[in-house]
Amino acid sequence: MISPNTLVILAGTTALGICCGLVGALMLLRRRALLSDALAHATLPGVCIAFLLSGSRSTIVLGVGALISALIGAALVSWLPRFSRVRRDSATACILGILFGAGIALSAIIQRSGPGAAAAGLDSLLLGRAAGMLRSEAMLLGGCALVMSLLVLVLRKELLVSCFDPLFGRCSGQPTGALDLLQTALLAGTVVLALPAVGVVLTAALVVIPPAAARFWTDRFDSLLRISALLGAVSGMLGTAISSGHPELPAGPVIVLSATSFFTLSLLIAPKRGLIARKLRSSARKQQREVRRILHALLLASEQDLHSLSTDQIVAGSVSASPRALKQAIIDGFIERQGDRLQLKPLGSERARRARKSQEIWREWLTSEAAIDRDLIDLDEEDIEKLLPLELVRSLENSIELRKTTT
Amino acid sequence: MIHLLSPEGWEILSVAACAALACGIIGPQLVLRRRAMLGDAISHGVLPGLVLGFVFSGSRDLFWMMIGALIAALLVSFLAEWLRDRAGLDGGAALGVVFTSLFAVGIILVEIFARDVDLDPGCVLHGMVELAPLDQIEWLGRSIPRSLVPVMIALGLNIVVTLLLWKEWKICAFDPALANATGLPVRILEQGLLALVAVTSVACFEAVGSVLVIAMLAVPATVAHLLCNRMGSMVMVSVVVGFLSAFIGTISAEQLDTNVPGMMATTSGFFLMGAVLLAPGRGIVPRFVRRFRWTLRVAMEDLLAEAQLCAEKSRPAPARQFLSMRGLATILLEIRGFLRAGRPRGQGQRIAQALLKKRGLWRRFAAERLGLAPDHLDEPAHRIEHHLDEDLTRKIETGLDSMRD
Repeated sequence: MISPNTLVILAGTTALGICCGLVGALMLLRRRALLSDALAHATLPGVCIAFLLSGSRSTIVLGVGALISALIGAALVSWLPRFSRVRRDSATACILGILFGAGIALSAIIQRSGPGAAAAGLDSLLLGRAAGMLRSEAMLLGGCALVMSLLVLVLRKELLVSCFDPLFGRCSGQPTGALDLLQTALLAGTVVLALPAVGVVLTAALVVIPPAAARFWTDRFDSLLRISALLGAVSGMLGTAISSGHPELPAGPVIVLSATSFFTLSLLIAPKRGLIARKLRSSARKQQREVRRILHALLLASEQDLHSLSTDQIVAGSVSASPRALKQAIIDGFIERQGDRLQLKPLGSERARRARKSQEIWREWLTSEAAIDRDLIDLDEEDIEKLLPLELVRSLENSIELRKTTT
Repeated sequence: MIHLLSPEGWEILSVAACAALACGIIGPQLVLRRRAMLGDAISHGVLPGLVLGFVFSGSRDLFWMMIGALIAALLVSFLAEWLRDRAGLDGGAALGVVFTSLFAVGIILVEIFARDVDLDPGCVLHGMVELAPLDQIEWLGRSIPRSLVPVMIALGLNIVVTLLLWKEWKICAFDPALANATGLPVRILEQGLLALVAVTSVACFEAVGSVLVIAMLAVPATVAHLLCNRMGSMVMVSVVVGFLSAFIGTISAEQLDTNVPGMMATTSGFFLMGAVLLAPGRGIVPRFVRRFRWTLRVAMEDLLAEAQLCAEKSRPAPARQFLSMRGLATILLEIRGFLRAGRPRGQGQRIAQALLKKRGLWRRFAAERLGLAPDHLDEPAHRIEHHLDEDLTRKIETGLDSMRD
């Protein structure tokens, strides 16, 4: 049975996941994933100063302080590389370290001067407490998720250009500076919203991990944003559900770990970029090469009036094809087996001739155009027409003919 | 002020300074390889290693926690590299995924295994260098803080390895392709560097907390990168800045009664600010001054030339301006006596004539040699006249004359 309190937290973390997923996808495409980490750390001095100035522990006052200091941090990270030769990664690391250090020093001052209870509120910022989420906070998160989704929908084209080709954006008259500022401000806002729920370090996790996982599934901008937001939302939901069943587990880390498991899953099973798919693809390619070698060997043999070869000659010897490749060649109808002998079928010999011709053309191109030593070339390329322009292929064919007639 | 620090203060300073030096030596290597965020990643990612070391040994025995942390640190750097190279993920994102996930694992492990013991994740962040004087051990007949030992070991290791691999790391940092081509074991060297960073952060981490590791690996090296053009001087400056941050940070922390690593990081921030603003030649202030002086010189020369033209054609002098570059130029020229009542005098007259001669030369050059249209001559001549030195002027002059002959 879900208690109303859990429901609030569930809604809040789901909305938070959507916000983080969206803004994280933008940051991933702009190669600024770790900026979220720097901004999360940079909120600390702002929170402390807001507390010192106002003396109140209200979420809004501390949140405004955190936002201002995150924005200052973001401005510094983007200005340092522009006005000095500090590189972007150094700037990120420096601002993170300096502002976080300043925050730690300030919070130590607060802890030593003020009452202990006040300091406890600041301490929970470091690690976060999703369990303490109020209804109003959850509604704020929901509103932000909605606004952010609408904003991304409306500004889709501009954001797309600013992520992939900012120079084109500037040439076509887009306010690139304002767009940049908008995205950084979105990131800073998201970080500040996430801070009370999951804490300084894990905020960065929520911004970095879902888009990194989504990247395995797609090469398109829209689907990246969609999948990333979805993964963020599902991790938020799943993490909160698990941690509400096990009260000893804090919600923040569980949310992050569910995101991490989605990441690991994507890393393994994603259809195009996943590790398993890559492995399968490379072994399939290897098998194709072996089939080609078998066909080539049989073609050479048939040209020397040997119409068949023994299986041993194919599997061992210079061809060294695997039995699986042999079977594949038989299934594809390139060769046939008669007892222990292998023989080329018409389809196979046609395929082998085409492959040999492509190889010759390749070799010609590499020696004539790329000036590579003939002996160093070892290629099996079949569909030469796909790789080189047609006129080039024709002229290469001519020069092969020329070479054959002269020798 | 002779009484800078209390006796405990000196001991705190010794630990903090050694940690800052150890990080300062190795930081430039990370900054040069664009991997400054690694310090941050490692110092967060070691948490599960610390906890597991604690759980396996069943006590707060430092040795096992250090071993666990070291394994976790190596895991962070190698996993991130593997994700980047094998899964085609952006380097920053790969690092982010790995260390935040490990940190989350660490917090859950703390909640499960170490709830009753005070293995507070907060103190992992702050560090407890203030407690260093409370825990002393005997070494060579003297009583020293226990946490000084791992930091000293890390410092010694960093010095030795950096000196031994100086040339190799230099090639790897600046020209990995050359390093590969000359047969250096680049992979092993780079992984050795990562391992050294891991050892350093874990050693410093126990003594002074992760804030300091993050700041001291990145900031002094970045300051040095702003100030130096050679790796040798960069390491020296980085070490000095690290030491000064430790010194000033400890003193100010004692004065303000606050956290030492936090103040050290803040101090290094002031060093960074100073370097960005004042770095000779490329700081913001020197660049601004250079630009200002150039603009002023151009304004003065233009004013003199214009006044000279007016004087030659006995037209009234150009109207006086205030609150602009030209107004400032007028005042300066009058103070020097180059300009009186709107007419160039003495040296001012010579400057104006030289400038007008250059302008005329360039107009001729542009018209005869570059083939510019007559109505396109003024604007470029007006710009380039300030950049022509004597040598170039003479060359253009003789060149034009020789063509005429």
